[in-house]
Amino acid sequence: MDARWLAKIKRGVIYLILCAMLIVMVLPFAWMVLSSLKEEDEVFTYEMSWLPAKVTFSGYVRALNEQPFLRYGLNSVLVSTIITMAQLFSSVLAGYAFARLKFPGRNLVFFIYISAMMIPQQALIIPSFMLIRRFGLVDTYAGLTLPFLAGPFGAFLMRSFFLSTPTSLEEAAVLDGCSRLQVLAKVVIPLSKPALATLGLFTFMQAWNDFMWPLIITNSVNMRTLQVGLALMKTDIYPDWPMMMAATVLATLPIIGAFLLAQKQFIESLAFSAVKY
Amino acid sequence: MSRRPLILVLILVLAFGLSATAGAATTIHYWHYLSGDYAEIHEAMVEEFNALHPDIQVELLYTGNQFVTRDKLIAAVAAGQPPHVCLVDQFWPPLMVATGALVPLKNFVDTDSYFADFNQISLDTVTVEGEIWTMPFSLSNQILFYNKDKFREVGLDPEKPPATWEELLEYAKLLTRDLDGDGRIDEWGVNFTTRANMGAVYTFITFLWQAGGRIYNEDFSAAAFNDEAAVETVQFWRDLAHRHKVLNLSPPQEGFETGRIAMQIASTSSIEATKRKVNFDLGIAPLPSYRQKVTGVGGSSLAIFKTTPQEEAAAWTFVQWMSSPENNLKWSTLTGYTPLRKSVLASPEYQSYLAENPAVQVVIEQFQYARARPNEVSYADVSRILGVAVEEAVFGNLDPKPILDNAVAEANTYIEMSK
Amino acid sequence: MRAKRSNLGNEQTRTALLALLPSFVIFCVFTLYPVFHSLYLSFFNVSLISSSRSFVGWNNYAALIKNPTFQKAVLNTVIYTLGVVPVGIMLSLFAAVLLNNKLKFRGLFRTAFFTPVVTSMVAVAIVWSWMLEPNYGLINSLLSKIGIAGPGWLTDPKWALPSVILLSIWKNLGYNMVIFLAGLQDIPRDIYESADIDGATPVQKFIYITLPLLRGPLGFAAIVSVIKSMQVFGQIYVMTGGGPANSTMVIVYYLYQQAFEFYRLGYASAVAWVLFAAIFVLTLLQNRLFRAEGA
Repeated sequence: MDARWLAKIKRGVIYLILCAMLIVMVLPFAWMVLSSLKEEDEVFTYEMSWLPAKVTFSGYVRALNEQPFLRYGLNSVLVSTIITMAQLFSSVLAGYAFARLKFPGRNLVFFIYISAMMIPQQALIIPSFMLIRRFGLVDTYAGLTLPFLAGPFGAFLMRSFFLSTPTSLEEAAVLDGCSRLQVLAKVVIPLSKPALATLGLFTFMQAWNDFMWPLIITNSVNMRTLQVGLALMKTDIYPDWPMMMAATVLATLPIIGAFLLAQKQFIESLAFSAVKY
Repeated sequence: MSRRPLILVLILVLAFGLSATAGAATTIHYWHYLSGDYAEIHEAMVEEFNALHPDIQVELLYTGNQFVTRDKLIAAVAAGQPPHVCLVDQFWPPLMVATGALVPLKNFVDTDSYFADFNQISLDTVTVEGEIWTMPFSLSNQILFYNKDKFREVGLDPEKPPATWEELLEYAKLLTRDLDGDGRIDEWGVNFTTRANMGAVYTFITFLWQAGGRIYNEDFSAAAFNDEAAVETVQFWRDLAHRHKVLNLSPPQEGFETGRIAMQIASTSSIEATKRKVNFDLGIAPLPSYRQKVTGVGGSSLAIFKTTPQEEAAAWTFVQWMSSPENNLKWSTLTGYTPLRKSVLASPEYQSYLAENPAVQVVIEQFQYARARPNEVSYADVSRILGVAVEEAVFGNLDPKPILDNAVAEANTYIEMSK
Repeated sequence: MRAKRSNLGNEQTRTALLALLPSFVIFCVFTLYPVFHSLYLSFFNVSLISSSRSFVGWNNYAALIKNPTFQKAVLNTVIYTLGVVPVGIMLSLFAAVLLNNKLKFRGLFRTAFFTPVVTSMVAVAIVWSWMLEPNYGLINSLLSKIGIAGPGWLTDPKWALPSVILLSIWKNLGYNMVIFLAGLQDIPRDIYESADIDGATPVQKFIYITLPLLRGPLGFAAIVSVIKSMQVFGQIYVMTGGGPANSTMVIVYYLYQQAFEFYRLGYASAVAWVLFAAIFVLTLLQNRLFRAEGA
């Protein structure tokens, strides 16, 4: 009896602690949504209230009027999609080359790729900026996407995946007379869907949330991505908080929505890199 | 009989021809940093321009606050993609001229005769090395707003605002109160911008000049804001916050307008907006002074960037219109900015505005001892460094001397680079 | 036979070249070239506006070391890292251990903990700025209800950096937690059961069984957290702008300011290289530490 009691108490305590942590995790989001529905002056009272006295969408209206949020969203979608497609393309090819093809210098090149993964983005940002400027691509979609169309991480990930899959089907295809690239297209890729989904999701999220590069590479309002547009809204000395919260809700809704619909994939894609480390 | 179709054709051709020459409108991209209360007035003005000029359409783009806008502007200029027109703050012209991307106004008009109507101080801020580079748009200085009702409550004479630093401190102490006895201050005596990234340096240099200090040395070859006067000024700010506790470093939003702060030093450009917001007896007074009477000059002008001749001409039409006598009158009376043109100042409309708002007379009189910011290319960077140094000493409650010394050293590297 | 093999060799090489081309070109242009170019730039004074450059040798590096703002940036970055990594990992581990029991709603907890992770840093920083607003924000309002006058979290030099640290811990908790959870679930139950038979206390089980077996994930989490912490930028830009009084000035923000607000591109490149070198060394060290046994 005692043991069961203890176990029950233990579970109760665990639930309690977890619930407390859950509240801490979720509270800011709840506060964000509630604030976005308040009138501007209701927010500046010392008597804090959780629920809006009068639910209003005026914050959202102001947010959409002040800045072209739809345009920002479109830019983010476009840029993230281009980057993701390109990364998948280049990483699958590169990963396959590293994993399955023998060529001189393979280990050396791969070693360079691995070492490069340790380079922080900021060390590259100034010369990349100057390069894009020399090409005349500042403030363009090309400028926003070019540096990210390929990267060592994607190649590394795909190589790891390919190395861990059996080669029997591929060898059979080669014996049947397929070229290596055909083998890649017809046999390997269809079987790599989970890895592709993982890399794709990871890349998309990174691109969507990226802030520093779009900040420096865009000047005109119409080229801003969602993150930059959001950040630059908060530059006034007296911010319009309900409007800012509304803007933040609009900016985070897509990704949180996607996350809730595909939780497993999101979590796996981010954790995947850890497992393969 | 056969003439009718011909005439019809002729008419059709004429009609097409005319509509063709009307052509597509020239689009002008206009970047600015105005937000809050002026933003709507400003936007309405631009919309009116667009309505009156179907062949020139100005696209207004808010690009963040002054600092963000300046960074973006310089980056755009460096990338060869500047906007057609940009609103520039009072002290940017030397820097913008140095980029070589501006079109001097003499390209459009004989500046001597055109600008004869403009008052000298508005021209000082847009003249670099003897030439006029940008179109003055707004002009302001700094003023003391105060709550006459609060003055009465604590026994101060509402018609006798503080005239010196000492009085400012004294009055502020009386006006800082804990009303409900809970140990927390509910009302503060004084407020002004103290955050570096919100432009506190503009207010700081006014205090500095009042104390007899300098930003640059005599020949502008080095920074000079670490002398006794500078240290004294920083200490004054620091003590207001930490020793006397009359200045709240995280003031409640719109604290003055909502009656929680009794005095505020701010730009004259916010006079009309403040009047609209407050529901107490508003007082407007010249800034309290110290060894010298000084107030800062603020404002903005419109810069035209090198693009295509057609766009530059359209830009000129636009900036001219924005500072035309009618529009300058409108802008000044709706905001509190001071008129740029002598004709506007003398006009019956403005005189009647003055009669209704005697406090604005204070503003105009202050221009006698208003000092514009140094016309140096390095000023924008130097002022940023100074602002952070002041913030560090004030917010950290630290000894100003070593911080200012370091800041002067850093500023000197920029001054050297700009020579 | 010989001929066939060399044919195969050639075909593979050609295919490999083709396959590697897209990735390699972008890699060379936007990763390799910038690394070396930024090293090159760091020896010059480069102006954004006039595009002129003058050779200054080691001056930029010398100026860097002596610069009080940069020193502050390094100090703050170190403090930030020390604040975020150990506490963050401990909390994540704690949450993972709790969640590793057979619980109802485990999916719900996991989702809730992971939501901050998928949200962008900018969005999170803005919401937290509002929560930490000194006069009307949620935190100070709640504190005042229990009689505490909350400070200006982001306007007081003493509290600004701790506030940012708290934000970062909050945001990344779910990420590390998920990694640890996966690691925990890889540990077979019978090890614990035999420990139980031996009479081990929960604490002993944790220290002698769980921790050693989690070495891999712990190592990964530590290395990644340290690297990310040294590169902190977004939350600083949005919440504090490096202030007040440089109390949240960090290395990457200093780099950004020098490069894109003051336009000292050569000097900023020197900053970038110093950061790169630091991260490189730290990563190698940590690798050694965590791979020491049981790679």
